[in-house]
Amino acid sequence: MTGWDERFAALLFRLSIRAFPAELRAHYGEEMTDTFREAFRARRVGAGSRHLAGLRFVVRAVVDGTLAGLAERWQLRDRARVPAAAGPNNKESSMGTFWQDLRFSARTLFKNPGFAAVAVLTIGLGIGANAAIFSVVDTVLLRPLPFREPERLVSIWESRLDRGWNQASFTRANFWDIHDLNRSFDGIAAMEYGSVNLTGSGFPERLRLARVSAEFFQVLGVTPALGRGFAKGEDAPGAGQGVVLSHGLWSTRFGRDAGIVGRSITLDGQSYPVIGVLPRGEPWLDEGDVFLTMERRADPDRGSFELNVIGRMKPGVAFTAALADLQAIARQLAERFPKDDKGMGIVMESSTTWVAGDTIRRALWVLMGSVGFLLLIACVNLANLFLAKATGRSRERALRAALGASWSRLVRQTLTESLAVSGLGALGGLGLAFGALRVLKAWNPEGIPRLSDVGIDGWVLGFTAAVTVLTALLAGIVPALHAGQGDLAGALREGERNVGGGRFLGRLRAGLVMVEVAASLALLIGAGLLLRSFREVLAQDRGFVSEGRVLAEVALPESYTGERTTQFLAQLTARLKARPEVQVVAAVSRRPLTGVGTGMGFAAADKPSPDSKEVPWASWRIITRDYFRALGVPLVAGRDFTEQDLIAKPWRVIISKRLADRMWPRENAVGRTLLLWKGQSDNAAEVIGVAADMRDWSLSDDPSLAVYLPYYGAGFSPIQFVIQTRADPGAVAQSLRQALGEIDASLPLSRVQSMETLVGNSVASRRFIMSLLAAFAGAALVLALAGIYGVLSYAVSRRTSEIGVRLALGASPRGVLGLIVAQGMKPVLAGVAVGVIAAILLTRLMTSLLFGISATDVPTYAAVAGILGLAGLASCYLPARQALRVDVVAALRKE
Amino acid sequence: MTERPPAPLSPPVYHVLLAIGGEALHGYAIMQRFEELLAGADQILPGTLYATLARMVRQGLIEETRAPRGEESGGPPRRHYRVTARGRAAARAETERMRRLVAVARRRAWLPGLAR
Repeated sequence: MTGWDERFAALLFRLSIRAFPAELRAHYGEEMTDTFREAFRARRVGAGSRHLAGLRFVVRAVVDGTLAGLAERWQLRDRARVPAAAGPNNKESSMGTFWQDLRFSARTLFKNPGFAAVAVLTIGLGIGANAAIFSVVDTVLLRPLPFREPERLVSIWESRLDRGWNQASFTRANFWDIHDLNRSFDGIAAMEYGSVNLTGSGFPERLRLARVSAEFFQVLGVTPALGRGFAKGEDAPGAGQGVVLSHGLWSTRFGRDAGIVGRSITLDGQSYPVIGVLPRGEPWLDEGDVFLTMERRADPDRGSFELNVIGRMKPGVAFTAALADLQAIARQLAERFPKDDKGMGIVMESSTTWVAGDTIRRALWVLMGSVGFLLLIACVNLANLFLAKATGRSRERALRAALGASWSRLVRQTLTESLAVSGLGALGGLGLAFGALRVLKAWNPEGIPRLSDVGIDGWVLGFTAAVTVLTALLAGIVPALHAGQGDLAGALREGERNVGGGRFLGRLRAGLVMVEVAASLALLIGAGLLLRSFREVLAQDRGFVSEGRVLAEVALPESYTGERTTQFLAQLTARLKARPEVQVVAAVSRRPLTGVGTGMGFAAADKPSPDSKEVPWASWRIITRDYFRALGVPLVAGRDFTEQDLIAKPWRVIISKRLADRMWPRENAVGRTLLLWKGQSDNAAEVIGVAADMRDWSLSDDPSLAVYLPYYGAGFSPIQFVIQTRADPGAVAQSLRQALGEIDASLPLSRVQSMETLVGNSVASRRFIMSLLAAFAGAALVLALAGIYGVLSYAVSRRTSEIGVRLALGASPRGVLGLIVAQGMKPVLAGVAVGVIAAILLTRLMTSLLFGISATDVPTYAAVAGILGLAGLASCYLPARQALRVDVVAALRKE
Repeated sequence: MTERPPAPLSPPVYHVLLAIGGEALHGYAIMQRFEELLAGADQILPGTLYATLARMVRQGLIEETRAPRGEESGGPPRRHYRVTARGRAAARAETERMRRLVAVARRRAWLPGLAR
């Protein structure tokens, strides 16, 4: 009667021997399986913990069956290749040797399942982290842009260095001038952002609008997925207007309807025929949901900087030559239009920065470096494990060498073993990377572009394979060389007794400990610096309160004039305020913490006019009354706006405290006159109030100089509502939607989020980088500690008899303890020193990621060095204590 | 056509020759003998065992035979293996090679258990 377990085991075994060539299987297959069954039965009956013994046998037999079968296949091939007439085939084929080595490795690994598990896990962790981060780096940084010949593409900016503007968007007129006058570009095109309401079919929706000059898609070098892009001349005034849809909108809103081209959609109440659909991709192609042409107007404006400009350089034109061409045009413009263009310059950026900005780029490379360190530590651990095992097996090796195994064969055997472990580790690591990427995508931190495209593809597999081989070499080379060299006679004579004591080996181990300490120290310092930066960012005085605040956006169509907008604001505010859960309602033209903004130059009317170089720059927002109250920001002087403060009738402003202190230090700013848009329109405005400062640009930027204008009379859309409430965002959205429905059912509500979420998102990429680096550093610390403890306790245990002799000769236990700890700590301290130097050199690369602390922050360095030093001390002390409890007589008898 | 066996014999081949000795044994018996021979220090698993047996048959070191009288089990007849004259010669040569090595080792007092 055979049990289900035997049948299952036999099934597994039969599967494994499918590796054998068919001919052999036909002849021996049945018998092999019978033999396997018999052996399995004997093990189950015989052994005490029979299930475990049976299981182990099955696993080993299955692996052995597979490898033996594969080896037979290789030999069969070799036999087929070498004609029989070539005579005796005495040489082992190298592939046959490889399989033999691999089988031997598999056997040794199975004999030491503990060793195998630790080794494979260690390497798996290292390789998995590398595979995961590489797949992100590959997708975000290495994958080319989805445009034809992207190396010819650049983005172009204006600058006014005399006013301190390093990089500004283009003004309309200047754009058309460089468009017409340049000689280095196949084309220059522009995009500006807006938004429109889509109505007509289904629910109204607020869409992101991108207006582009007609050549935009040709300059990028993209062909629409459906229909066509804009043709030359379609941006002329009065030209027929068609709309191009983004791939995203086409997929989500129109269900990938292939017949969409030719149909019309309604945007802001006006009908546009769809002429094309863009392919998937970023950047640019996903910047708008719908694309319309940007009309080339006759009376262009040189005052407002609104256009994002890209260019495609002519083939063979160098970056510097193209830049020089544009600079020359800028100088001409500065002469011709001194009022607006004085000091105009050009800044060009290669398209390599389009997907990921400098910070993300830097951060990802830092992460890539950190997983490299992690892998290095894993390699060192593995090398140590092999080394300890190799010394334990030196007698076996010596015998093998004596029996005729060649030096190179022994080295190869060790490397094969290392490759087997790395290979298994790589398999586990890929599984780990797969899981990690899923978690990462679910987390989806803001600011990491292309994250949804990240995955394990051919490149990642290739990279992993390369890393695996490298790991095998790194981890295997030291023990392999050791296996090859050495004193066979000594090893045979002395057996296992003295194997830990070799001088060469001792130094080698000390070196490995040092590398481990140094690498983990550098990694921990990097993580520590980011962690402290993150805490600094969160600990900054924001100026505003985020708890219990909800934001929501309502976009108004163009039919909403200033007057109607004001009316709408009053109606909506009144309805919301009537609800019990709503405490304060206010509106603002732009939500805080978006990292982008509108600005103006300004000056105090009662002070001497500054040189145009020194005109300070302020961000401006349009707000309703109670904006400051809704955000918990106190007014430090003057009063809030009321509905009677209409915008520009006359100009009245509230300014931030920093701005007031800068213009009128130690004076009362209320009642003074501020010149707005200094150098452009120079509107004189009365300061009616001063508000406390807030970090509304980003938490890591100082509070900006801010000017607030009243919303009343301004038809500014979309409106951002700021609501102080006791309810959650969902409930507020419910109330808002209801109130909107009562006023104008065609108005869409969007981007409802709590202020807490907004704050969280604004630091998301920082949190992402920090968390990953901290995770890697933590893993590195665990691996390094395990490695250090393993090596030191091994070294101490090998000195048991020496300790016995010292104690017998009258040494005090304290003295012996001190001696052992001191010797063990030497490589640890050397590692700390090397690690600190490495960290000082490496963390310089991450200064741009830090906030509020320097890259050589002493407390971080001291804390990390202290932690590692203490851990090292514990790793020496514990085994030393153990060794002191040794029975002196027993230890001496060993001598 | 038979292949020439490689010299020196690989450990599994040599061990299998020793395990079979003068008898005719089936696969599982060889496996058991193998373990006894090496005092449990190593074992041979079915996959490797049959790969080795197949090679040894090709090289003419062993041959397949029917079960000897009195040893048939209840099931279908299974193949037994017997060492050929050529196998005995190869084993002798290998033993001689090892004997010479051991002699050298003895001269150098490398055998365990011998006083220096």
